[in-house]
Order: sequence, then C-alpha cells, then structure tokens
Amino acid sequence: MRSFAQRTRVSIGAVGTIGACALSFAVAALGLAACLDMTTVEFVAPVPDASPPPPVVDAGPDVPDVDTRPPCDQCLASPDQPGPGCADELAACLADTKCHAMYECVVAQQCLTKGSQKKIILCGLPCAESAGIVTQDEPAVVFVLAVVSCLQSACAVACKIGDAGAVTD
Amino acid sequence: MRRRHRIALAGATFALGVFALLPATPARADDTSDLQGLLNEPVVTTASKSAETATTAPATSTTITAEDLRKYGIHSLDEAIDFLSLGVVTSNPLHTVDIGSRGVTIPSDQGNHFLLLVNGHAINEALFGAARFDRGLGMPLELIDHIEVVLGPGSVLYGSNAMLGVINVITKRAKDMLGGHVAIESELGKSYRAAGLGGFELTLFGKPSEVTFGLEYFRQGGPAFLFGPQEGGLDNATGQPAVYTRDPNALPQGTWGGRADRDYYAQVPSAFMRFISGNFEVNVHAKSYLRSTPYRARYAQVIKDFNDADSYEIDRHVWADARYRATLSPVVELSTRLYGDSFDYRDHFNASQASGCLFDGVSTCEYLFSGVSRWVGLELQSSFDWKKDGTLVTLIGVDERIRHVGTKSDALNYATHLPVASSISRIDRDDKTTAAYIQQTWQPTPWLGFNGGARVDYETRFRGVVSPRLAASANVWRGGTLKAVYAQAYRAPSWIETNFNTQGLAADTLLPESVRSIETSLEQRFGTQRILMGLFRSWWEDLVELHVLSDAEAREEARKGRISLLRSAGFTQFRNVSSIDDYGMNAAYEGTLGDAQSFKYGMNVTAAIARRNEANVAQPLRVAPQVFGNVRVSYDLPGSLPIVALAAHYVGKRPVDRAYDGAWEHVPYAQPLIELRATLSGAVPFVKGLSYRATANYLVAPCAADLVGSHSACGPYVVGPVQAAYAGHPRPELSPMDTFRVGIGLQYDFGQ
Repeated sequence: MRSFAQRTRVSIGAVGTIGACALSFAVAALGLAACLDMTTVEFVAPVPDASPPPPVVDAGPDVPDVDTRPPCDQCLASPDQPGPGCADELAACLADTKCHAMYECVVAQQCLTKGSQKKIILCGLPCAESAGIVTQDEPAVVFVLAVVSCLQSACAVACKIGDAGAVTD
Repeated sequence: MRRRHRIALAGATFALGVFALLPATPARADDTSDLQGLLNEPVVTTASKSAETATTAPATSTTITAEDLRKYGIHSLDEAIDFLSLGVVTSNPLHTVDIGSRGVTIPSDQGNHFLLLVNGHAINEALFGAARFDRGLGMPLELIDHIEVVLGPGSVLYGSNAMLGVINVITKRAKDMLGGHVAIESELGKSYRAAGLGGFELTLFGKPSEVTFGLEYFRQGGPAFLFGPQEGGLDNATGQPAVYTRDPNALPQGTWGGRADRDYYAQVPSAFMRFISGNFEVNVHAKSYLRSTPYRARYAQVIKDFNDADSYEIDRHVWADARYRATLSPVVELSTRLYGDSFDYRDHFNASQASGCLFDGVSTCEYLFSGVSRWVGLELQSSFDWKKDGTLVTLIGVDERIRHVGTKSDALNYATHLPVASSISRIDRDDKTTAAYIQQTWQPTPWLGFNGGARVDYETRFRGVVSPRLAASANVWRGGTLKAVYAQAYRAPSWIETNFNTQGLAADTLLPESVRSIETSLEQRFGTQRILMGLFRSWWEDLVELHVLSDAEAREEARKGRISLLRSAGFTQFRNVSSIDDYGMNAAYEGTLGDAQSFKYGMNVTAAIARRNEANVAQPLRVAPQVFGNVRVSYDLPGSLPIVALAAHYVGKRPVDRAYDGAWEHVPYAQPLIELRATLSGAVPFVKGLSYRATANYLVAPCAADLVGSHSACGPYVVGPVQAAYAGHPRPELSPMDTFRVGIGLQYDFGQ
C-alpha cells in the first residue's frame, strides 16, 4: 500500500483540483482586499433657519425712550452692581480692539443666545479668527471669556441659558 | 555607574553559567558531537540573500525553528522573538506590539524600524512603514518552517526600514507538510484560532512542483481590565466635567475608568499559498487584522469613549510575489521577481467629549481615518560565481517600485452616521522608488571570508541614500569564529510623517533616518554546545518624532496662518529631532545533551546603554529595556511521553512612553518583568495523527508602589485622559498586562 506521502505526489490530472483550490484562494484573497472607499466627503452645512431679525422700531420723536434691545443685550450692558449685569466685563472687552471687533461680530451673529457654552464657542470661533485673534492666551480671549462667564451667571435668565450647564451638544 | 555595574554583573553571571554547564559535556575522542554540532548549525539566507551558515553570515542572527515554535508553546511572532531570539524584544501596549533591538525601541512606530519579510517579500508598507509582529502577521504557525532574526542594519540588500534588523519568516516546503492538516487552539476564555493547512507535490509540465497553503481564523476577546478612576477635569467646550461615554449612567461625571470588558478584542482571518514549479515560485498572502484597545493614550485613539466596542482599527494586506530563477551557466544565475501589495487601514473611534467633538447638535462624534498604500515592483538580480565553487561571488540587483498612497479623515454624527464636516487630512500621491545594489563575497582561504556591498535608494521625496556594509569572518581556531561587521541603514520617512497632520501642521522637509553600526562577535562550538559573545555600538541620526510645539513655536505658526490655536491646542509636527547613541553586549549559549539530543537548552542575554539626544540633553530611551534576555530548556521524554519545555524571558526596568513630557513628579519607570511559560506537547495516545500541546503562561511584573492603578502589573505606557501631571494627579496610570493564560491546542494530520 502506498503511503499518504506517495499518494500526494499527484499526476497532472489533479492539477484541475489544485487549480480550483488556487482560484478559490484568490477569490478569498480578493474579498479581503476589497478596495477601501477613499471618496472624499464634501460637507455642505444645512441652511440655518433664516427667521428675520427683530424689527427695528423707529420710535419717532413723540414716543417715550424705550430700550428695544433684546433682554440679553440689555442685561449685558447693565452695571454689575447692583446687577444683574456685565457692564464691567463688557467695558473691558470693548476697550480692547480685537475683543471689540469680536464682540460686535458675536452680537451680529446672535452667538450669545445660543444656549450652551459649546454652541457659543462654535458660533464665536469664526468671529475670533476674523478679529485677528490667533491664540487662546491673547488678552482679547481673556476679556471675551470674562464676558461669556458673566453672561452664563448674571445674565443666564435674560439670555435663556438657565440650563446651559446641562447642554452638551 | 550603578547601571554599568549591573550590566557587568549580568555578563559575569552569564559567563559563570556557561562555564558551569561546560563540564557536563566532556569531549570524547570517538563521539559524534562535532558532527551533530555541524548538522545543528543553522543555515540562513536573509543576511546576504544566499544560503550560508549563521556562523559566517555577515550579521548576528537567530534561527527559530518550527520545532521550537511548537515545543515552547509559541502562539505568535512576538512570543517567538521574546522567548527564543537573541537581541530583540517586544513590548505589548494591548495594541500593535512595539519591537526593539539591542537597547533601542521606538515606541508606537508600528514596527517601521524593523524590516519584516515573508519568504523574502518585504511586508512594511509606505504609508506608515508598518509591519505587524504579533497575531496581525496573519500566518498559521504550523506553516512556518523557521524564522530568521537578523540583528543590525540590513539596508544593504533590502533598503528602507531595516534599521534595527530584518526578520524573515520562511514557510514550509510541501515535503515537510504533505497532506492535509487541521489545528485548533485556545487560550482559555480569551482567544481561539482554527487553521487548515495542506502540502501537495505534483508534476506539472514535466517539472516537479508543489503547493502549500494555509487558512486561519484567530479571534481574541478580553481579558477585562480595571482602569482609573481618573478625574478628567472640566471640558473646555462646556465648562462642565468632561464626558467619556455615550451612556450618561455608565461613569460618574468627569471620571474616566472602571471595568473595560468590551473593547479589548482582535480578529485575524488570513490565507497563504505558495506554489513552486521548477524554478518558478509564487507566494500569495491575504490577511485582515481587526483590533480594539481598551485605553486612551497619546498614540492610541486619544479621545475615544471608555469601554466602547465600536471603536476599532483594521488593516488589510494582500500581496503576491512571483519569481523565476534561471541558471545560465555554472557562473551566472539570473533571478526576476515581480511583486505587488495592497494595504489599507481604517481607524474608527467614537468621542463624546465635547472638546473633541466641536460640531453643533452632535453629542458623539464618529471619527474615521482611512489610508491606503499600494505598490508594484520588479526586482532583477544576477549572481556571478566566478570560480564556480562559491568562494568569489558577485551579486548585483536593481529594484524598481511604483507606489500609491492615500488618506482622508472624516467626522460623522454617531447618532445618524452622517458627515458633519468635509474630509480633511487628504493625501493622494503616486511616486516611484529605484534602488541598485551590489554585494561581493570572497573566501580566499577556507578559514577566512569577506562580504562587502552597498545599495543606493532613490525616491521622489529625498535624494539618494547609500547603505554600505563590510563584514569579515575568520575561523581563528577549531570551532571558533571571529566576526566583525560595519553596516549602515536608513528609513525613509513614511508618507504620514511627511504629508499628514490631523491638526493641520504638516512636516517641513524631513530627512531619512540613518544608523551606523559596528559589531564584533566570537562564536565557539564545543561539540553540540555553542557560545556566542558579541559587542556592538550604533549611532542613529535624524530620528523622526512627533515634536510638540512650544508656545512660542505655536504662536509663530498661528501668525503664519498655518494653524488655529483657538480651535485646538497641543500642536505637533513630525521633525528630525533626535539622535541615539547605543552600545552594549549580547551573548548566547545553546546546546544539547544525550545521544538522541533529547535534552536541549539555551539562553540569550543583551545589555545595552542607549541614550536619546535632543538639544544636547541625553536621556534613557522610553519603553526600551537596557537589559533583557531569555532562557529555555526542553526534554523529550522517552517513548510516547510528551516533550516538556520551560521558557522564560526577562525585561528590565524602562522609562514609560511619556516619561519626559508629562511633567510627572518623578520620571516614571515600568518595573522589570519576567514571563514564564511551561509547555507539554506530544502525540495523543491511541489516536493516530492527533497531537496536542498545552501551555501555561505567568507574567510577574510588579507595579511600582508610587504609581496610580489597581493592577498587579504595570506596562510602560501611560493610559487615560491624564497624559500629563497636574495638581491632583502627579503620577501616571500605566497600562495593564495579561498576567496568566492557559492554552490547549490540537492538531490532526490526515493520512498518517
């Protein structure tokens, strides 16, 4: 009786079997090597809800002087004492050229009413960059963070960020 | 000074051990031990691309045989290196292993300072320079004939990446594994693998031919580890305690840590086939390596959620290599090799930390990094045996390669799996590399041999690199061989290093890394006993590292508009920042006893002093042990009784990966470790063709008392969000280790 070793020395007739095995192997290998999708994503941000800004009321000369600014802006401009207000922090910011520019941008973008610190930062980053702020340790950043911090405490109600701390998204 | 004393003590201990063993093998005039010794002498092909004995090869090398792999219960390439090789050591961060040699380990380099070959085919790819030296190799161990571990620079014949050395995995020929085989093995409760293998000989077009193949599936899950707790502080983006999980009830607010029982796993399906017909040979290999690591670290998914099974990495590699050898005359032999590789990599992780997910309306970000690296190459090689007796041989070759690399990074909303930003970190490049090499061997007398050569490598990113080598060996007395080698090697910076940075600061001009090395060794054989003593010194230049920008550097780059310090911090850039000066000794002893060589033993020891220099500050290398080694002994019990084998490897104290840049209270060190392995293997009685092996592995690695962590073992990697000291966290938490494993395996050989 031939040993198994002898039996495995096959003739060319077995080449078909081995060829089929090799083909199966190649298919399995190619399956593993399925190409990774390297198509780049071009993200287009959804268009924000373009609700119109609050109407500017031309009070006219006969109407009593009424502060028509949103409550958040009013609170920010109010004195710290007796409060609630952030006038001191805001004054320091407005005295700095870069912080002033950033603040104006932030107000225009309504960043301060975004509801959470993360959203305020996300909204304010382009403003900071357009104001020429390049690092986190510039004085302008210290001033603007003081405003944001005050806003979250003293003006939290007026700016509708009473639950700001819990908002993480 | 104390370190030098320790190294000297280690050397003296080794020498005493050797001489204590020598009397056990008295020489007899009529014995056959000299002949057995010669027969036992390993033949290597890696060092000079031609078969020669390890004694005369132009490098120090270790040959690990299939018998060793089985007998010592080896499960993977890194275990084989640690337990059985000389001068090479690995370190396991529960990620892809780091591999180092003779005092030098570059942590988290993805193995790109060691060249890995499978049957002579280079595995290291171009994007990272990566090669996997662990289970990710994707090769059934039953298919491996032997592993050649060659120390020192090897670029003279192989080009880039061969700085620490070259490891060549040689698979079995069909005659050594005729028929079909199945193997199953499990490290109980932690992993299992199943493999099917075969070897067939046939006659094809009148030529002797053969096919060998192997299919394997490996799966590992666990063990679970305890981490922390670490206080992560306040998240800059929310002003609230940092969040490390998508499940708000899973962890206390602001805390990272707990039991990680879902995110330490791996899966490796693989297939290999080798076909030989006459002078024609084809190798095909395909594997996929999916893995998840349970901790955050500087180099491992820095911001991923804790215990998140959905965060993982995967790489896939398929290659084919076809070669043809033609003997034109007794003098001239030509060899042609056509090869192609496709490697891709994906890093997929989820981050709920707000500062790591700055997108409006997104509470958890799903980050996806994708990279591809593909190449085809053609190598032509000629050898000229001028005297037709192998004493004067010239080898010349050229190797040309066309490559493509690509990367991109995407951010998605985990809740919807939709993108939240455009792809960034895009690389899409094609390039070409060209190399030419020459090697001359000359053996003027039977006792003296020389080997000299050089290789020039060109690529589009830098000018040509020359890697020379000069070696001489002399049989100075009976059984004694003296060897001296000078060699240089280089590593081309990977494409990730030259063209990529997630934080927008790509590298400026990077130079290739280089290493020069001299070594000398004396090998003495006494019958079946062999002893080797070697000295080495190497100088490394222009090491590429991830440099953390100083405040001044970051501000300067911000002013240039290259980075935004408002959106991120801790900017890094790959630079040629450091050099290494390394010297030391290594020694090996091995032998057999008994007429049937049933009692075998061996040991390897390496002691080195290596210092990394940056800006004239010299420090010990991180993660790199300066003293390490292994010892092994096996006894083949008579009859059908099993083979009993014991092995151990030792790794000395070494600084952790963030030892110097974490501002820790004291420079943190990982303590020495000893890993013990006991294995029983043999044939299952009364069942023809069925064999078994059982292993028990115990790792003794004390954790320094002043380190954070509740583990009995501490590895050399800082884990968790606290990667640098602060007031409430002056010491690092180090990576855990799997301390105890028990395994059992069965193999059935059909037709026996």
